[in-house]
Amino acid sequence: MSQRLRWTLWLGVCVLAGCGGGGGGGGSGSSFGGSSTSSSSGGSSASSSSSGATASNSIAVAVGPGPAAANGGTLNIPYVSVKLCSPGTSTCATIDDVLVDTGSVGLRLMASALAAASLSLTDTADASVPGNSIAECLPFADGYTWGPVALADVSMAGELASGVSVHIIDDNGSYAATAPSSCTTVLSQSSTSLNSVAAFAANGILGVGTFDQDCGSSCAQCASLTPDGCNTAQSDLYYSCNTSTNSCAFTQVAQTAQVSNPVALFATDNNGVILTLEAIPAAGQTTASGTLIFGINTQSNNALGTAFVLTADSQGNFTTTYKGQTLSASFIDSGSNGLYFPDSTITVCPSTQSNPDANEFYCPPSTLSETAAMQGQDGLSNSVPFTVANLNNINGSFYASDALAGPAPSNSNLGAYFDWGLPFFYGKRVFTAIEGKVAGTATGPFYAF
Amino acid sequence: MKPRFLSATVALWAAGLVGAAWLPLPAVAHLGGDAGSIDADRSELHAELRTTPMQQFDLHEITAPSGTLVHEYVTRQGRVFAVTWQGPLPADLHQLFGDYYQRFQAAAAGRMRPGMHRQVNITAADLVVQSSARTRSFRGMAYIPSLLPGGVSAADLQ
Repeated sequence: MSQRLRWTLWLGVCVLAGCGGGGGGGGSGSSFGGSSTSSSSGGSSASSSSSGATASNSIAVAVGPGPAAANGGTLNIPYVSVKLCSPGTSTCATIDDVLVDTGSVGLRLMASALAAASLSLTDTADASVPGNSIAECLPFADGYTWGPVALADVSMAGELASGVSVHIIDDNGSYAATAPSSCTTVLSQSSTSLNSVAAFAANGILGVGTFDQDCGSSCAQCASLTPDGCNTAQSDLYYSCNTSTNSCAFTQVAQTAQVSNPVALFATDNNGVILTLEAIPAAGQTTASGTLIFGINTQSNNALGTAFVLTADSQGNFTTTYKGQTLSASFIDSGSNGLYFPDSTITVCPSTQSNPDANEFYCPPSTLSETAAMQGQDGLSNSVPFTVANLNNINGSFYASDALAGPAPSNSNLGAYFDWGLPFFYGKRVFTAIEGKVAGTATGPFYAF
Repeated sequence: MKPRFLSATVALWAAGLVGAAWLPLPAVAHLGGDAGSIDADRSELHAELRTTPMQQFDLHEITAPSGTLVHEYVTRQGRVFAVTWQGPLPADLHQLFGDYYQRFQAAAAGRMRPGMHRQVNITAADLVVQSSARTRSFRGMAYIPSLLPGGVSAADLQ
């Protein structure tokens, strides 16, 4: 672990110093007309494409080191390759090492990765303000991403979503409007820029969670009118930006124009996904392979069958009961690299100078075998075993661990949760169904496994 | 600081003396701040609060137009000792944290976890923050341990 921890520390310093941009990976090729290209020398997904996933509705997934600019990567990040084209053209590129995230919605790509693949997408114009373009500030708990919205034709395996709004994370300063202070200090839950390959150990994020769009009605309507019109002082995610004057103001964006889940826009197989990863040994494994399958109950390879259906609320949450705690805002999230849940009886790793983030993980004296019950909105529940390893006992050369875990907030008044991160996916077929979409006898949002 | 919370919510006097009434109260106080000292902000904020006096503190509730709900906890001495937030869009932590924002930033910025951007947990002697952020779901709490009234714990915050 120590080598990776040094990387982590170095990355933190790098980002604070503002040197995280421009890291799209050297040695990048480019392609036009649809032939595949690699945008990073550290790419892992392309090399594993021979391990399966040849159906027209599935692509290969690899857990590994990620792009070169991730400087060694980190544990439990699932990567895929995504092909993008300028809308209606054959000007295309395939971006490798894109993180598959069932916990977010929308396709987001580092500008540096697009540039390295020689793909230029046109920023979406603001129809109501001539000359302006639409940008987005996406807040994370520990920072934000910023950049323009653009349209692209997105394809994976035999599936095509035409004219999808995608978010271009401006990690190379190519967008002339910089993040406004309302993004960096108001919207953002922390003012750290996450505009870098290193921040996500990925060239982009493929958000295939339980919604059609990343914001929905909150960003499409004017929530409060003032005598001067819509109150734009409220927090929103979308901006109208004048790149000549480098000025941006909050704006409303219709739901269909918001950054969207590409899967929901496929012609078929558009009601959700299955992410499945191979089972791995308890001690972990260097890398792991898997498959991302599009559609639920639409093809022979994505039948719901006898899977346990876990119905979710309007926020994509369900209840996990664990050691007497009712964790009512629980979710399943391939974009979290561990299982995160509150348990005051498990030792938290001490932060050290070489790894200041160690206290984000548990360090039990020996691996623990635990059980929690996942209960859907319909009251049906399923008991799920899981293990908790000591962070410091995970082999430092491994990228795949099904026992990485850490603490989470415990205040049940404020929506305490069990975050079933990537360790949950090993050895399982995990379904994520989109809100309002029918899949077999169930309607999204739901998870199933 | 430009205020963001412009909703009209109900001011409630719940001391059991006068029932429900409209009260002019400081709108957005901030963590560690003196609630009484920012009364001048109220008119600028165009906001009204629902305030519930409890035995050991006052609970101020603000609802943003987006539906994001903010609670501020004020000691009997008029200091904001805790804030909580939850809703479909982010809360303005810069505003809510006041002077503690830089302290929070310093602690949060030291963390660089490519595999986990959904939560931040900071436990320091002078500041505790638990924050989570996910698509359409933002929530968390922050409090100053030394200002917690006797008998009040973090688990009491809502």
